[in-house]
Amino acid sequence: MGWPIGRREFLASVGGAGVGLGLGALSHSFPLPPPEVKPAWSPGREEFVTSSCLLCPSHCGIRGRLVDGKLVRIDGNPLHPINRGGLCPKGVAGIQLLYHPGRLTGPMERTGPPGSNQFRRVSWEDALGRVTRVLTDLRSRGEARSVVWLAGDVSGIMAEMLRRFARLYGTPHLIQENYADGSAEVLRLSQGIGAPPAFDLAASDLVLSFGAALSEAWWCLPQAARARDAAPGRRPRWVQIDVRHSRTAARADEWVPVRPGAYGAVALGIAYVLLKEGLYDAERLNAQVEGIEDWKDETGRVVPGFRKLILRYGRTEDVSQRTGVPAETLVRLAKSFGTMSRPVAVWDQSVAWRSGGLPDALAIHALNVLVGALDRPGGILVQPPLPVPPLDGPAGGTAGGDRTAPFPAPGDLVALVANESAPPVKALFLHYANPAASSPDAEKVKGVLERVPLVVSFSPFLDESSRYAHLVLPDHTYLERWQDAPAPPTVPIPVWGLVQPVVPPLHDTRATGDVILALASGLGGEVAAGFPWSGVEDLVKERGKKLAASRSGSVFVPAFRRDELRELEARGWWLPHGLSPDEFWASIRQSGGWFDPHYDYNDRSAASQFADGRIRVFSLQARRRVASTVPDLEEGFLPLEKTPEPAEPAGDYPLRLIPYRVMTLASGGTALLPWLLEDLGVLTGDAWETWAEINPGTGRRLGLVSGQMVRIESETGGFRARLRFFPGAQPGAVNVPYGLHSAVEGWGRAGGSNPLAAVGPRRDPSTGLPDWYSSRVRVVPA
Amino acid sequence: MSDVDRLAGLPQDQRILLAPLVRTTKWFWIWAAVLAAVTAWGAFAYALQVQSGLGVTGLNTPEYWGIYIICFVFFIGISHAGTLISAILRISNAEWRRAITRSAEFITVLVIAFGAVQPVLDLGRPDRLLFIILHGQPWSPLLWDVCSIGLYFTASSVYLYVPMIPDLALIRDLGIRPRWLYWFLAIGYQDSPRTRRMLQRIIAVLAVAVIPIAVSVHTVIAWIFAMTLRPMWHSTIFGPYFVVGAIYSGIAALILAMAILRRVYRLEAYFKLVHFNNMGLMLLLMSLLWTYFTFAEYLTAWYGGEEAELATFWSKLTGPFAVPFWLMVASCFVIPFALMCRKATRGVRGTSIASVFVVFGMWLERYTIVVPTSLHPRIEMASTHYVPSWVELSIMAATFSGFILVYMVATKFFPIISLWEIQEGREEAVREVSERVASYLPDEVRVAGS
Amino acid sequence: MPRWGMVIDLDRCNGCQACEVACRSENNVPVCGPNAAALNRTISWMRVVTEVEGEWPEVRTRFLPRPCMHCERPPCTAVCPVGATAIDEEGIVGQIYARCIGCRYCANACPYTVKSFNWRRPDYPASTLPMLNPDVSTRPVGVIEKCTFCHHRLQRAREQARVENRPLREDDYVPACAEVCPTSAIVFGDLDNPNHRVAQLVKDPRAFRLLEALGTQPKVYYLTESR
Ligand SMILES: Nc1nc2c(c(=O)[nH]1)N[C@H]1C(S)=C(S)[C@@H](COP(=O)(O)OP(=O)(O)OC[C@H]3O[C@@H](n4cnc5c(=O)[nH]c(N)nc54)[C@H](O)[C@@H]3O)O[C@H]1N2
Ligand SMILES: Nc1nc2c(c(=O)[nH]1)N[C@H]1C(S)=C(S)[C@@H](COP(=O)(O)OP(=O)(O)OC[C@H]3O[C@@H](n4cnc5c(=O)[nH]c(N)nc54)[C@H](O)[C@@H]3O)O[C@H]1N2
Ligand code: SF4
Ligand code: SF4
Ligand code: SF4
Ligand code: SF4
Ligand code: SF4
Ligand SMILES: [Mo]
Repeated sequence: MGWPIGRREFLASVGGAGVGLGLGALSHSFPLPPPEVKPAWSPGREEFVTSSCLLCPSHCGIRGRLVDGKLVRIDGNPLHPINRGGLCPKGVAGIQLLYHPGRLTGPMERTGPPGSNQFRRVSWEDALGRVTRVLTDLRSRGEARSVVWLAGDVSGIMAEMLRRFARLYGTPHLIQENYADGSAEVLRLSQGIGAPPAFDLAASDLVLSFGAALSEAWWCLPQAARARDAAPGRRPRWVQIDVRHSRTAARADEWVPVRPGAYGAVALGIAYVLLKEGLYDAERLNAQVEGIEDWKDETGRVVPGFRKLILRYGRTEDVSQRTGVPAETLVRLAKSFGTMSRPVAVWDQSVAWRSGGLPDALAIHALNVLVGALDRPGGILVQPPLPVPPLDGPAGGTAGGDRTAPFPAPGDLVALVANESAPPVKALFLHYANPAASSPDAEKVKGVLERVPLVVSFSPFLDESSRYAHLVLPDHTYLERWQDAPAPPTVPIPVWGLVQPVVPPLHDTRATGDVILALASGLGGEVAAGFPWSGVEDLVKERGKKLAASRSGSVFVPAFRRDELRELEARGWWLPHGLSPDEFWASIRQSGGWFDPHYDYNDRSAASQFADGRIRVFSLQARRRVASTVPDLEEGFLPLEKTPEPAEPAGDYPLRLIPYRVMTLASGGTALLPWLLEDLGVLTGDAWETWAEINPGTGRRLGLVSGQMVRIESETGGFRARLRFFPGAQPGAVNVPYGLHSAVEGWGRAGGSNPLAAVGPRRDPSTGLPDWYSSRVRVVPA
Repeated sequence: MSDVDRLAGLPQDQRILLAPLVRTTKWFWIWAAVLAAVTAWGAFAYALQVQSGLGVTGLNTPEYWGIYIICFVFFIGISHAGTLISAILRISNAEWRRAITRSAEFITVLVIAFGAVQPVLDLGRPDRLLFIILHGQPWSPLLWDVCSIGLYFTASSVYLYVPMIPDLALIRDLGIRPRWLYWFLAIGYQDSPRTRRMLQRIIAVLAVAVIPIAVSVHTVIAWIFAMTLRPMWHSTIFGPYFVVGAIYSGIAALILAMAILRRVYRLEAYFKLVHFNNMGLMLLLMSLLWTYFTFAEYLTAWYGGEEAELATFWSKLTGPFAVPFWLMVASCFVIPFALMCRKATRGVRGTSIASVFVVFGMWLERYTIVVPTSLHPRIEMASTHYVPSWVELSIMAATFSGFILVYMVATKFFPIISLWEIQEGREEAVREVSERVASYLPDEVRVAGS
Repeated sequence: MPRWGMVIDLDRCNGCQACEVACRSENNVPVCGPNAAALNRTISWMRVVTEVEGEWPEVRTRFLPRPCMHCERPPCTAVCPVGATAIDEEGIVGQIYARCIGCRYCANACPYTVKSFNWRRPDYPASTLPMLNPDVSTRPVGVIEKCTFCHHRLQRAREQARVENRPLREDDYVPACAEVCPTSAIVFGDLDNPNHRVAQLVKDPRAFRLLEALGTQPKVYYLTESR
């Protein structure tokens, strides 16, 4: 046969090849077998529990989704009249606060030196025993005044309990941070109202915002968000006057860039056009407003009125000169503000937190007065009080609590301790407060914390301040405890959100409210008598039932019922809910809270509470107040510096520091939540660390490159940040987000630093508010 | 008696060409040790990658593909040296091929293997490799690729093996160790005119069959990119463009192999200047072809002026990738063209230098194809860069060293020049050629008598 | 047979990123950490893409929330060698994590770069395990993941509807991002059902789709901002 290959060998080689291939094939299933899909699971039992978010003042309604009893997600509560089911990123990420690995699992006693993290677990009995003993004998020795309470974000029942406890125990030193932005002071001076303004954004047709971070850090983010929630034609027009291209500015219909601290001037410029062009209702003005025309003071001297002053100082060119806002823009703004049917001018501490902030705010509010925005739909309203009396403290305070008490509390603490005449502080309680990180003079605060014989922190985390505490009595998180969450004062209607345990406590922690009750009963006597409740739950429940009897408002209801209700109440009707107090309470727990959609425009007390029922612009009182505290202003009180500083001054610290808040961070320890840290800055795409926005031109002039690490320094101090060239940063300024000031072991490492280190503890002398927006800095490579 | 003195008595071809099989210098061992070390290091790097995920690479979003895919395209490209070239030469009866086909075919077979593992190194879940067969999804160009590469590997192995049988038989008969190996591989071949003819026929068929397969391989690889809608990937000429590039780099690789073998095994008598000259001419041709394709590719991208395309385009010509891009142009066109267009520089040194640049340049070409497009997605301009990690670089180094190592070893077991074809050349080719030439000449025309 | 789709109103959107975080929460998206962020390896099924243009004081910004477009003709599914990503009969493009070999071909084929790869072993601190959504499987290292239109919610809704034996209602199936959006910028529903809001909104003159010219036919529509 002709085949060149011998059969035997051929077979041999084929066999060999076969074996080889076989081995090869086997080797394929190495190293792991394909994973088998896990056996079918049964969808768990799902339930929803309503409550409120306490991560920022907005106090949105939330709804916890539980599966087989475990909280797996936080939704918005669709029935909540303000956020209506929407949430901000913080609200969603709140679940990470609950499950945070860094949470304290029970009461801790410090074993190491102050500031260390050497603590040991103690029993609640021992811990409370120790505190009660100290409180008892301080009081018996008549040193009650040496006990200081420092409270951060507390409102509603919790605030009232603290006030009552302090009063009954006998210490005046309840230092409470309640988000003061000085706006209440403005209303006091111009309307005789001691409450902050409410802004009826949704009903307005032109929102003129002076630096108010409506979509980033405003008092009530959902209120601003929902005002956007309409088709282009049917929502208010947004104009954002801001010193930076903020996220709010980015999505406003118009953004008007302005030099830092020039808001008041812009307002004057707009007022000038309004008055000059007669874009206002003269009768109404004469009938309701004082101080437009000249008048005589008690000494009979003629006082120049608003009109005269404005016409003298508000000339468009001059204002444009000062503020950097083009003349035509000023005129256009004024014309639309004067001709729209429901315009409103909005401001917050972006205006107030500088020395000279008060006249700025007065000038801005004067615009609202000129166009008659006070107490009219789509204008400036005042949130009616809850129809139930508060436990203690200033009665008739709005649901949001009054915001006249100035920040920063920690500063007061330092002052208090520095003050020789005052008795030494013997015991200090920190509730929702982390001054060692959040105070502009953190170092001083630490010094104080080291000196006080007993420091007690209620923080659920071992935050910077708690490390100085002798005892940490960890609070439940807001998802595990009873409380209430009244809407912030910017909301025109009273809303009482319920905070109830969404899940049973995960750890051996206790609600600070309950701890206070325990201390009270431990102290006995009148203090105990003042706190007859067995738990905060009882107080909350009690208030809920009182609301049932208030013959107004309703538990949270779906949208269509809301409008119905408003209509009815407007006609003076109120349909009895026909529920027993217990049923009513049940439906509050079901729906998430109580609210009253009706706003009574006939009650003029929201326009003026002066005896003469009139409204004042730059009243004598206001003028004197400003003139006596802020130097170098035109006429002594107009928001115009006699010698305005150049836009880009030279010197050691040539740049302006513009600190601001990002939506994704809030007070209250949200800096601990990784989901937020992954999404920190939507404008620059930064994450996990502090960055600093600088105008590309300025940056290049300083020989810096985008992305490098820099140190930002002022006379007061400095901090590190990653530099970002950002066209939305104005030349000669550095924008820095704050909020990354606090860090806790356990989950991700945020590279945060604290801009306040460069800001320092300065205050505005006329309001006592912090002065954060006039810091000068330099940027040097790190 | 030892294999060495066995050779002593043999005729020149066998004496010289079989020498490497029986004599091993210390340099061989040194080199082998070094290469083995590098390869082992790469293996370690891969082990690390397997157990902690692709995070150890420099890859990111949107730079999903990097070094591994670049090397994949590159090595498969190199593999076009052997089979394709030798097949073409065989079919075209180019007599000067006889000395070089074997070394070429070896490159192919060995390098494919190393090329084919690259995508596996790139997998996030290598443990699920088999899914490609179990759940193969015929629409995916990746699957086409698996098939064509598999086929190409088989075909070229056969194509390497079959023409080697007579030599293996010879070695077996000479009794060179390891005897069992040669006995096994020679599969009982007995040399005789008839068996030779049989063999010739099989080879002829293989030679024809292997060409389309080779072409398909690189076309399909090109399609992996071309089938996406990515700027400067989504191109119709990518198939031929890649094939040309592949042959180009293949030839260069072959030249280098020849130059080295010539040196270390003293094969000056076999790899002669004429070989280098001819290869050099092929190099010249390919450099022109490559340049033509490249030009066409970039011109259309630029002229079309689509936003996304331009972003990628400029990032290569003037942007962050300008350096690799122009280096590529220099080493794939300017330098080889300058050297190869002059006979003077088509010697051993000239062609070798040109080839070094071409090989390097073709790697860069793959880099400038893969990376810039990845970093320029249509939405959201990438703010990131791609810096290969030490793991990727180690594994790449290991691939190179591994390939060279096995090639070295191969030359220790198989004659790197086909003995019987040389011999055949001596005996028959001369006659054949003169006959062929004669057959080209005009026939005599008989004029009818007066 | 419904064709699920989404409409995102860029006029309402204020770039708050609640949708991003809600999606992380709903779909057990792992925390990738600072190093990943620096390398641009953060996993995000929904990303608010920010486009800033111009120079001070003329600066314009546009926020573009970008989930998977669930293309009607998805370039990503065709190229998958093992069919680990596929479009179902209701137009939802899904991922099969147990099948994915991690070649990242689909990610390269997607013109919208919405796919994320698990470069490292995702890590969930022990104390956070209870908060994982039991309806959504976590992903192993080395596979691709992306927006699924919260497909698991559809399954739950279907079951619910079957139990109460009634047809599926529009608001039965709402993805997490649409649910949380504080300005209701995201609307979801059946594009083929004239009663669903999405079906009406896509007829709005402001409606457009991303990279329409590519012919991928996204089922995510946008409404331009009014400026
Ligand atoms: N998301 C979020 N919301 C919050 C908080 C939070 O931390 N995060 N915190 C809550 C608390 S505690 C508070 S006190 C409030 C504070 O809320 P805001 O009053 O909004 O305080 P900031 O965010 O600091 O506002 C600073 C804004 O003013 C602008 N600005 C900066 N410099 C100047 C300047 O020189 N002049 C003027 N006129 N404007 C300037 C900045 O661009 C910035 O947008 O927010 C509350 N809500
Ligand atoms: N760097 C920087 N400094 C700031 C600010 C800033 O944004 N950045 N904001 C300034 C302003 S406006 C304010 S209002 C103050 C706010 O300053 P603080 O009132 O100190 O608020 P935080 O700094 O957020 O610290 C609150 C602390 O409360 C703890 N905590 C969280 N949840 C609970 C809880 O449920 N119960 C209790 N008892 N404690 C809890 C957290 O651990 C957190 O450390 O900070 C001021 N200082
Ligand atoms: S706005 Fe404030 S209250 Fe509302 S969800 Fe966000 S953090 Fe919570
Ligand atoms: S949640 Fe709504 S508003 Fe916020 S970014 Fe997403 S789409 Fe825009
Ligand atoms: S958007 Fe990308 S991932 Fe989503 S379907 Fe389209 S191609 Fe596929
Ligand atoms: S990465 Fe996974 S899903 Fe994407 S193509 Fe590869 S196998 Fe398919
Ligand atoms: S639809 Fe679901 S998966 Fe897709 S982005 Fe929205 S939340 Fe995430
Ligand atoms: Mo504050």
